[in-house]
Amino acid sequence: MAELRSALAAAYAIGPIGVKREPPAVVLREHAPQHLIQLSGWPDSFGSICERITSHLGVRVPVDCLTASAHEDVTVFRVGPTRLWFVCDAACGGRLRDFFDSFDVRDGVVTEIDHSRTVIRVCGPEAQTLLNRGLPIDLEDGVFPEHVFVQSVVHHVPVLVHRLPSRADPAFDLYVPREYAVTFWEWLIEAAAPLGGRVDRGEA
Amino acid sequence: MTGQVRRLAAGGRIDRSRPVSFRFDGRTYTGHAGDTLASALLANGVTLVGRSFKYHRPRGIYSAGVEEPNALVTLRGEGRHEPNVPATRVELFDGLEAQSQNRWPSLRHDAMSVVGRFPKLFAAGFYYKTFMGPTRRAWMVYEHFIRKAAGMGDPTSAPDPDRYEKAHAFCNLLVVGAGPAGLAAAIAAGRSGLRVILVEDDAEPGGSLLARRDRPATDWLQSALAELASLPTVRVMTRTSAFGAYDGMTFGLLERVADHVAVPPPFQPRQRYWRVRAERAILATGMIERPIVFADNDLPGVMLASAAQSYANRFAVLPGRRVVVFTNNDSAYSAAEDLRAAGAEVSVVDVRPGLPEALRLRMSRAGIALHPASAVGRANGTRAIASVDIVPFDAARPAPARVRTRLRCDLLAVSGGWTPTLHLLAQRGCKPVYDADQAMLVAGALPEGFAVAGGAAGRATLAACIESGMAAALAAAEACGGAPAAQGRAPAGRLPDERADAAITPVWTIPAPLGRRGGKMFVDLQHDVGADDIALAYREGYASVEHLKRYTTLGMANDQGKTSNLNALGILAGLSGRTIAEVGTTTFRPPFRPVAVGALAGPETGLHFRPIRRSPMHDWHQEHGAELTTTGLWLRPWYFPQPGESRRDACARETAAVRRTVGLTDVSSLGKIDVQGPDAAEFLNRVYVNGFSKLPVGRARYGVMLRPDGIVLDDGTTSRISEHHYFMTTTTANAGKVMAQLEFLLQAAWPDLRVQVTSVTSQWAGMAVSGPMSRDLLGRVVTGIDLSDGGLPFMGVAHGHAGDIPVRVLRVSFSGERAYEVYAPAGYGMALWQMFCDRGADLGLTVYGVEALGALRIEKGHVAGSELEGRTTLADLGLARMASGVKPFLGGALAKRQGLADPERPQLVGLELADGAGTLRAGAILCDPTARYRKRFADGSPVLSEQAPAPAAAVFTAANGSGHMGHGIGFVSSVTWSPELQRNIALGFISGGASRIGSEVDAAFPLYGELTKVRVTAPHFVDPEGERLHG
Repeated sequence: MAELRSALAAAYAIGPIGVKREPPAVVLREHAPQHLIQLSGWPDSFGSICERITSHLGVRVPVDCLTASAHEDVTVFRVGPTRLWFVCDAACGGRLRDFFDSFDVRDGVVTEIDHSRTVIRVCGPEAQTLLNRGLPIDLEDGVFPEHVFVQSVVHHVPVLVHRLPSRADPAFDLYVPREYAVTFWEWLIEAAAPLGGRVDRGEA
Repeated sequence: MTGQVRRLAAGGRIDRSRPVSFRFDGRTYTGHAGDTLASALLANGVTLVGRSFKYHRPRGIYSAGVEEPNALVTLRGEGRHEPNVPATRVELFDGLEAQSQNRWPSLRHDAMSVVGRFPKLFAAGFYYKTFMGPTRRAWMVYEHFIRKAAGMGDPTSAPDPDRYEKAHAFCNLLVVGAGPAGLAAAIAAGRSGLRVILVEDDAEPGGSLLARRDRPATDWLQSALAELASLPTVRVMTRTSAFGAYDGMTFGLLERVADHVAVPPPFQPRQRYWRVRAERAILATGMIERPIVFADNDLPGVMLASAAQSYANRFAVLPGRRVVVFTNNDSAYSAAEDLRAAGAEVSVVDVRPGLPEALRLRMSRAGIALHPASAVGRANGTRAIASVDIVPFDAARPAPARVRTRLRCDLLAVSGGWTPTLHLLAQRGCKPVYDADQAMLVAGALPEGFAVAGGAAGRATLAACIESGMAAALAAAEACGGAPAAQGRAPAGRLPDERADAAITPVWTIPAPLGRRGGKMFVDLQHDVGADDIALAYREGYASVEHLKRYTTLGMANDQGKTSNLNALGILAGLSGRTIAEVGTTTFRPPFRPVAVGALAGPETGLHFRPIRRSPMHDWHQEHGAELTTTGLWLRPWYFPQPGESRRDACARETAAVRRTVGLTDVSSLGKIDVQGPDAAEFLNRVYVNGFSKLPVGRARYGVMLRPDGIVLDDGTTSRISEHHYFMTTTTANAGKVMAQLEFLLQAAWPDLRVQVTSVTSQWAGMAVSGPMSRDLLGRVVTGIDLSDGGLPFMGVAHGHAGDIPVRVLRVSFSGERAYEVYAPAGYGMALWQMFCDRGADLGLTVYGVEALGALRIEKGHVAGSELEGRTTLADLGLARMASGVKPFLGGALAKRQGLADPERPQLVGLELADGAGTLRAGAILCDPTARYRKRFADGSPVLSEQAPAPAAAVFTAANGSGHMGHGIGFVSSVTWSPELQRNIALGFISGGASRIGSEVDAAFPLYGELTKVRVTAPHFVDPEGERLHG
């Protein structure tokens, strides 16, 4: 098997960041979903596509471009009016691909983008503080609750920020274009240093 | 080290248990924690702290706050060197180093103070008239010395070792200023559950209350702070300045995180630049006391009355032992009383006649002498005030008068009234209006979302400030949907009765006393602008306040007229016979106080000045010693030097390998766009100038697309993967522009087309395998593809595997050799690259960078970013024949405009040195050699050769004196050393294009004064027939 190499491979250093603080204010790790698939539909048939998705995958297609929906291992982001991202692990990936293979170009088109993003998970009591060092979005609990996501810019890098559900401390997944991953990671580590954090082993 | 001779034995908010050592102009002093640099200097008896901007006059500490116009100092040293910091806002810390500014050789003996003896020479606008002769270039000589003599502190060129941060914050309500009104507002809003950010420039909240010693005020502050601490939704940010108000209720804040310590703690920033977005804002920014303008009012020892009160009460410093208080309003009387209580001998000079009995009685009981209906006509002294001349004064008919008496003093505390601090409002376009009753500028019509409270709203008493703060907060809470609990009351405490005994009498200037030579009367102390400068400007026609400001520099730069604005308006109104309302006001601009560029830059410095894009093989390039270069945001391998190799040598070796054996280069930065949908073919047919509807599956086509205005946007190849699926590549430079244009067209121009475009630049690693042996290497790596010319012909596309890595192979060439572009999912890019390296070693595989890539494409005559630079047309590039004549395409109509269809437009050609001598440079201007002149006449005009056309405006002169007129007939776009041809070659554009092939022209490079003879050639230097592509 050829090595699947993380964009952060050379920059990733497990251990403490900056100021000593226990427990750490923020914990960073690379979180690599196995599949990231884009489905783009057409305005006149997108509704029926959504119904098919719900009946087949059991996941509701979000009605807006701000809230993700999830079912079992599949998370769906509506990143455009008729454009969806499906994120899932390896086990679910095959089922997804089989499903999308049944699509005709008149229903929509599928684009493989699973190598295009590096996913960084940021959690900890100061996760919002850290992200707001660069993210111009109000992440306060009441404004940015679980499963809300935004597509914004941090340090001039386009980033999709998704707040994860059911965590003791705030947790966010950041989807960063792969070629920007190192520069973004360096920025993140630098910004985390005054708060005190830790880099954990990446999750496959 | 000297003692703190002016330190009071008791009182103040300083921590006497924590002595602090600091240095000023190389001399060591001590102060206490809680001091500012200004208060500590005063405590040590230091009154001379700086020299003025223009005249180098001695200056002392004038205020106790951010409005300080005089005591600007330079802090720290080397990389932390920071000029122009008000000493009044520098928190004292152990080891602080401060220096005075704008003096030489020393503060006490400043050689440039001689300038002050010639004030008329340096009057308003002097640089427009005084130093203009005797020749036209004279100013260029004077300027050097004038700029050196004038000004403030010098910046450093040493790198700043500290870190700076940026941050975003959000709230329902932003309260600016934590004085009584701000505190009351934050408490009221916090009670109703609003998310509140309370910003205070000072190190602790309290505002003017910090300078008071009466129990009701201090008790109220204590209880307010206690309640504030209990409110979970209120965030108090001290040491933070709200310096700017911008669109959309966005505010710029500067948090001085570690300015109050010598070195920031590990990992902590020195300053943090906040961008706050608020639903509502309450400006509780207080008021700034106003000076009164009189002769020599800038002597050290002249100070605002509130500042003297603050030094006595807050910092336990007696700023003068013999004090004269000069006022036109009641507020200065409490300062007089506090200074008296602190042990000073105090006299009050008040311009108002018939002062109320209550006030007279208060002064009498305090042992303070009172001089009503009088004014200070002049301050006397050399480097410090020694006395003041008192003149009788009638505010209704101010006129020069003889000195009635002279009062000895070492401090003159002045109060000319108060000016609400409305800079943030003014930044939002809210013009203040003049309130004649209070003699102050107050807020005009407020912008949506803003409220003003406390002193900023013209409230003078503590009770009124608290009341207005709470009222503003309740209104904000209602607007933001706050809880009803907002209907609370002010924090407990009996508030003092501070009603004024007598109204203010507006006074701007005091005429100089009769019988004495008039001294300079300063309005803007920071810029050395006097009342006479305003009068001069007015006489010269600068009657508009905006013109006056720019001509005199009054209220400009970091001062922003904090102490000078209203006095200047009053003086101009008097000169012009208008009211202040008719004169109007200037516009305050951000920042309210200076913001270090380091804070604005934040972490975006060095390599992080811009984000960097790295290819999936970047780590390999680094590990193998690649020299890297940036192309746009991409960091790409420039060349791979072997030991001892120069760039040129490495490039020659890499290029030769591609021409002789096989080379491998990283092309991941190429833009890659996935185009899918039933109408994809039609879409591509519209965006490319050439046809795409009949492109077969499994084939690629070179295409050029135009902007709507007919200029070439980009070129690249697009492959048909399946019936409705295309894979487009673009140049690295134009990837973003192409993607934006495609999305715009689909969303706005052709929404009926069922096409989806997705940038997949991040998804795919790309590498080019080029050279005569490229097919051999590909065959060792890739399976599942017939690599024969029949199986994969030139411009063929196929999918296969390299091991278990899925790959997409395009047979295209940028180098002119047989070549393939191989794409793999980015995560496998490194593995695939390594596979090529491992299996190509015995073939002589050489990895090459963008330098060789550029040389190869110039040899082949391929255009790239330097030619597709936003001004060239299809015809300019020699590609006019590509344009379809049977189908419309984007930009096709406007490409036929007269200017773009002009046959004289410069067209793509090749260039080489005519006689092998000289230097080819990109950017050089190509000139007709028959238009060259050989020399100049004595007056500088060129002597033209007989054949030359009439001269145009621009002139180029070579080092030998010869030169060219006009703008040339073309330019050089790309240059390289050709290893294949063993000479310098170039691409460029020249009027006449191919018709000039074989002719010689001049390449002028004015920057270096070079004029080089070049020969025009065809742009294809290597393999013009394209045999190698197919070989």
